[in-house]
Amino acid sequence: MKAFLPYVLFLSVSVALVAGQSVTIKKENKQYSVYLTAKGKTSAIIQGLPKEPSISEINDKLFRITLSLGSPDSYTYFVDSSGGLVEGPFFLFQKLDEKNLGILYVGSDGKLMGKLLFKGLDPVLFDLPDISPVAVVTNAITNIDFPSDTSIRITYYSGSQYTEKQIAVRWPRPK
Amino acid sequence: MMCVPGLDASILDGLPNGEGQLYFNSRYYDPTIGRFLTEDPSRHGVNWYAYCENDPINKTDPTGRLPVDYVADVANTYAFQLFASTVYGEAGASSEAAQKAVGHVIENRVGQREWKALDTVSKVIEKSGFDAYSQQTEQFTQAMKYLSSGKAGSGQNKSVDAAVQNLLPVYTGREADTTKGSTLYYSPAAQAALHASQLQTYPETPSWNFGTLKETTSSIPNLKSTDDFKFYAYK
Repeated sequence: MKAFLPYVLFLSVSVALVAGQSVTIKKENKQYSVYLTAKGKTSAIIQGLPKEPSISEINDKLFRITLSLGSPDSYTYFVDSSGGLVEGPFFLFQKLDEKNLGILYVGSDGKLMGKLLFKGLDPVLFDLPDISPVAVVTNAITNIDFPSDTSIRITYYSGSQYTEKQIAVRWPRPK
Repeated sequence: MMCVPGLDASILDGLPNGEGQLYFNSRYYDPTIGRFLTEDPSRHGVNWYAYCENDPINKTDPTGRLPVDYVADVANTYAFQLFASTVYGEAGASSEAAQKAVGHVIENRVGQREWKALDTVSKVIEKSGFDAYSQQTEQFTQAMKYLSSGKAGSGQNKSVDAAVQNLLPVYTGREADTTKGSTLYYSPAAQAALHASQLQTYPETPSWNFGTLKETTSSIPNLKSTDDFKFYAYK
């Protein structure tokens, strides 16, 4: 994450992106909606949120919108403002590989998942063998990095003594 | 036993029936009457025999010469400001009990289980998923800016000032954990509203392994019905 976009809580909040593009959060009937304006067109990209989301800019065309409902309990959307593309929600988003536009997050069954954004590919499951007894899989992860163009290195707690262990996995590729 | 801030309680434990006198470097203190036996050599304040200007909850006097505003000292640290601002960001609109409970959740993670490497409150906040901090929410930023500018207690932001007073006993360990060891929480009403709006997209509860957890919400005193929190501890 490179920067946070400052905005104030109000009935309608706009955040300017690159020229001609903006994202707006509106409170309508006690719910929050997010609108994207690009290429002279405004469209609702997320609707029906019960709490105000936060927005953070990743680069001049990619930003993320996060709705937080606890610790740990959050849902994240990624928006490619240049193409008007939206993907999400992703539960407990962990890390973005900016080069591949790949993310790690928690799937609906509580397992760690990986997905390449905006490519139309299915997510893949990243199994963490002998993970320590945790209520939320990401609580056991101590680090994620990307040592090469295609690989992901995940460091996590293993076993009942919470001993650090590493595995290397790869991003999914189109068939 | 009388509580004397700044003193090792074992010193008082060693006194027969709580009786005896304690030497505070420059004068004697009698814990049975809660007074110094000689006047304050620095003539500080109005009552030269009182301990900490009769405010032993918030002040300490390790030298016997000058009360130190212990609470103000703590409140001025970055670590406490981060703690208070994070709680305010997570629960600023909720009751005092809910704010305290969130504070205890932060404290309960320090050095425990999967948070064993996070040995300070600040590390827990920075690395274990408190979105008020990680997303720098409006409420978090507002509180942090207020506290770090030295305005705490000035009354300019009554809501943040109230949160500070509410959270100091939690942060300093002077208030016992009210949450029975809780380390996780979520907002059930907001989660349910999200689920109701898009059944297929959002689950009714977060995708946690609830089999490892026990809910503690009902045992937390003074939570209000308007507090949108459920708290959980490991079994």
